[in-house]
Amino acid sequence: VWLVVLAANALDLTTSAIPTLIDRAPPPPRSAVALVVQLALLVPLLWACRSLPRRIGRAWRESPLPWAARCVITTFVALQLLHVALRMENYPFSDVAMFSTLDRSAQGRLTAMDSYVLDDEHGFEMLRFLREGNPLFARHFDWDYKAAWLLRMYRGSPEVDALLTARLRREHRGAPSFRRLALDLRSGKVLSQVALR
Amino acid sequence: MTRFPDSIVARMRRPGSPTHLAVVRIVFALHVLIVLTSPSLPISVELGVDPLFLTNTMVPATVEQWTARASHLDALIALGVAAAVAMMLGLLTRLAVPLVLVVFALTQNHFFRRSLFHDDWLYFNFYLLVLWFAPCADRLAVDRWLFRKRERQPHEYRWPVEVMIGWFVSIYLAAALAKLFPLRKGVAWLQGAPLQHLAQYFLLDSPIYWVLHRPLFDYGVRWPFCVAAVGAVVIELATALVLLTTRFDGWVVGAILFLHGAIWLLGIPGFIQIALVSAVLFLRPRRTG
Repeated sequence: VWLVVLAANALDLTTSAIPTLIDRAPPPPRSAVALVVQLALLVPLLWACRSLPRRIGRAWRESPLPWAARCVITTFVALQLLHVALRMENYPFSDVAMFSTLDRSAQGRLTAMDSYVLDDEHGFEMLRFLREGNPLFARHFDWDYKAAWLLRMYRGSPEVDALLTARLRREHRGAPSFRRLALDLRSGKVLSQVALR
Repeated sequence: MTRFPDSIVARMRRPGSPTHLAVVRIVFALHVLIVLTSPSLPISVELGVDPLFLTNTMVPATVEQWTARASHLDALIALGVAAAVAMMLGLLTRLAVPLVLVVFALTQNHFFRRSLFHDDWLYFNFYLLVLWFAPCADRLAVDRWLFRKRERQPHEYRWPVEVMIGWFVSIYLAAALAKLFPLRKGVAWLQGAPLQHLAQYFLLDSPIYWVLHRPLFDYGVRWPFCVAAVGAVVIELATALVLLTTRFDGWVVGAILFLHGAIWLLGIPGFIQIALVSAVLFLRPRRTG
């Protein structure tokens, strides 16, 4: 257990060593005393792990992988572990930190969301990219979730407007309007909408 | 390792199945084929967008710029599709697999840099790298008729599968560590506010909303998201069991599929397909020794 605690302490230090832009609400900085204690706790960890390089070396030599595969795979895995430990990302290596950030705090009952909207005689229809990227729920497009996600990233841009307008025209539909919707998070009802352009 | 006789290190030395490895090759080639023919790549060119600020890459800028040109991207995709079909058929596999790896890595770099979406590349860059070194065309392959079969040790069919399973597990362990560390952030994350924000932010994109036209419950209440946050981390950490024993394989894979299913219902697509495709790795021989 104490080894896990010491390793957690080391990870706490390494993962906070490099500021990352994905933290939109970074935690408060640690005090000088905490930093000194945490650094001091590295000494027993290093002592406990002193035989680790020898054991890793032996495991590496005795590995059943062919030599070339062993070299390439070990390098790839080592670089990946480095990225995880330092909490950084450089394609193709990742800290797998999706959904792990301290993002903006959650909303109360009401929230505003931007969406493309199609008006029709019955009212309006929200045009949601991820819905259009789902073959079970799509109504207008035959995208996959990747294409839908990409378009979602650039929603509201003139390029996406043009792409949507051109493709909806083929369905004899008018251009979609990009609006800000006021949404009730309990009922899911759209309370009001304002055109953004 | 005697304390864990069924650990991943011990399993790498056990006999594998050439047929299983061939099935892994075919399933992965099919998945790559689907990824390469995704409309996302041509759409990214149509949009003419530059790489996003938050994405970093080790792919050199000159290579990236070359890839981003429409004609080059089309040529790369065509090459990748041809190589993936060859990989599926087991035709010139020694050449096809590295070609698929290079094309896949470059096209997914192009996609990631413009979408900030972490999906297939997290898993398949490594899977394809391992398959490059694996004797994956000794069964269900055209190469069997074209080339003389080499005598192999039974474990040569096993280590690639176990190494890929190790990578699969490492992704979830890394995801758990990223949620928990730094610890001050981890404690705040486990209280559920980021998950709550995610559910609210993706409400209109969630299949739950498309069916019910409302949230599953009041997303303004925090405690269900606290439970979900702790549950997600527990499931991700539990994947480590696979490194020690095969006894819990079914539970772990089931829990991962449940996790991705729940994320999909909240509005984030993609990972459930990858987990299902990766699950083919776990169909390896069960008997020990």
